[in-house]
Amino acid sequence: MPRFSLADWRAEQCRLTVFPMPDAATRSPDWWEAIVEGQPDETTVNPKRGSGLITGAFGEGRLILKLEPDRIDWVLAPKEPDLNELAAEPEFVTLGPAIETLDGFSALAERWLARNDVPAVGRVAFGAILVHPEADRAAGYQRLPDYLPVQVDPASSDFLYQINLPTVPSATGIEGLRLNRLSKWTVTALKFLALRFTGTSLQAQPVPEKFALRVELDMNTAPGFIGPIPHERLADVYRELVTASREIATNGVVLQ
Amino acid sequence: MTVERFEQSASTSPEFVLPQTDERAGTDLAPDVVGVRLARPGLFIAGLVLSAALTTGGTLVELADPTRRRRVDVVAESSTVDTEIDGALLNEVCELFEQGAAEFFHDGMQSNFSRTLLRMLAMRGQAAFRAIAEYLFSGNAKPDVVSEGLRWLADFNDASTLTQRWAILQQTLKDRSPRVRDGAILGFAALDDPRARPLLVGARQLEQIAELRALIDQVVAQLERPR
Repeated sequence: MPRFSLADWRAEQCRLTVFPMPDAATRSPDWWEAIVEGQPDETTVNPKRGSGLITGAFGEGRLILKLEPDRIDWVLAPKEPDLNELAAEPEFVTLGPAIETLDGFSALAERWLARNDVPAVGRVAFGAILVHPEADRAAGYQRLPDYLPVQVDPASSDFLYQINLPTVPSATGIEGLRLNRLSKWTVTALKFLALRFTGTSLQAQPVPEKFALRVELDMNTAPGFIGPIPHERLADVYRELVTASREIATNGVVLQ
Repeated sequence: MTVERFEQSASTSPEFVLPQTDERAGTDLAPDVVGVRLARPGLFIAGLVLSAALTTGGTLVELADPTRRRRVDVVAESSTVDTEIDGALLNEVCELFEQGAAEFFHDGMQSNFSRTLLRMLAMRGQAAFRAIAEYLFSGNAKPDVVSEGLRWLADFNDASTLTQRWAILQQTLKDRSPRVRDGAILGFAALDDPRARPLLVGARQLEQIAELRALIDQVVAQLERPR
């Protein structure tokens, strides 16, 4: 089966994570509003713990800024689906086509990384979850050899393939900075059970299952780096991580 | 409408019994029905089951909390995905700190508490620090035990958990209890990282207790010494 193009993947989630240097304590719930140029729906801050959670609508999804003492996450995830609609027309809940979603998220991520009040960063990660709907489960399994160095009987089940390719030096030239390229591949089934409540009894109404090839990408700078990553290079490192994600989604896991 | 989500698994491992599913094995309706709470009559979705083989839960978890991976998922050592705090580990931490309240601590001397704490840190690494942070900031911790714990966890020599240890010390440096602040200051002394100097200088300006100001001065002097 020929590989499909990157444009055919659908994005289920995008994530930017930075791990600040230990002495870099700046965490601002105001970042969300500054980056999105709109108000969040909800802001929760716990000063005692030094943590915060800011969420709000962004494009087709919801954007979450999660502040912790040891990490900062920007996560773009789908809005909560309307389950009645989903039952009527089952499909994987996504943010939309992968390329457009990644581009939209990256514009936001780079805007934030360019800010002067971003704390000194020792480690950075880009994560994405992509799905490609398949006609049925067997079709999902038949795709696996196109993306992974495996041969799997399509009648198999419970498939999982996870690998961190050998670390490579960052192309940014930052001395000592190496990249992890972690991906996790599965064939996912979306299952529903619709129940009709009729006074005293419940009647199950089966809803057709949906299947998809699914990959979780986690491209990150390896933790051995003695940071910080120069602030003016953060966006370059981020772009390199996104590029690595696109390569793996396009070509699969290529072992040297 | 009240909706609950479920997962099932083909796996029979106890770890996976509740939340996992094989994408082929979703024929067992009964467990789903059991978990449904009916808020009003009508057609509704009782279980939204998203599954993908051995460690299927990712999709479901993202719907529930997109910022975290469920603890039972396979977490790779190079992964940067945030994980849930291990409930069982959190219970262990609570128990450890509560039992520690019955001990009498001698400065710098090991105790049952410190030995168990260090063993837990060695075995569970970052997960243990997450659970400890959760407990320490729950408001239930006894100041004397926290103070003792801070000194030992600061002394835990592991570069991969430095940020977590630092964050715990930094937050407890502002604690209401002088005993806890004392432990945090001594923790920074144990870390012996000159980058902590501005933090300690800032804490000194806010410190009301003369003995703690003096202790901070000692630690700052230690951090300023030539290396």
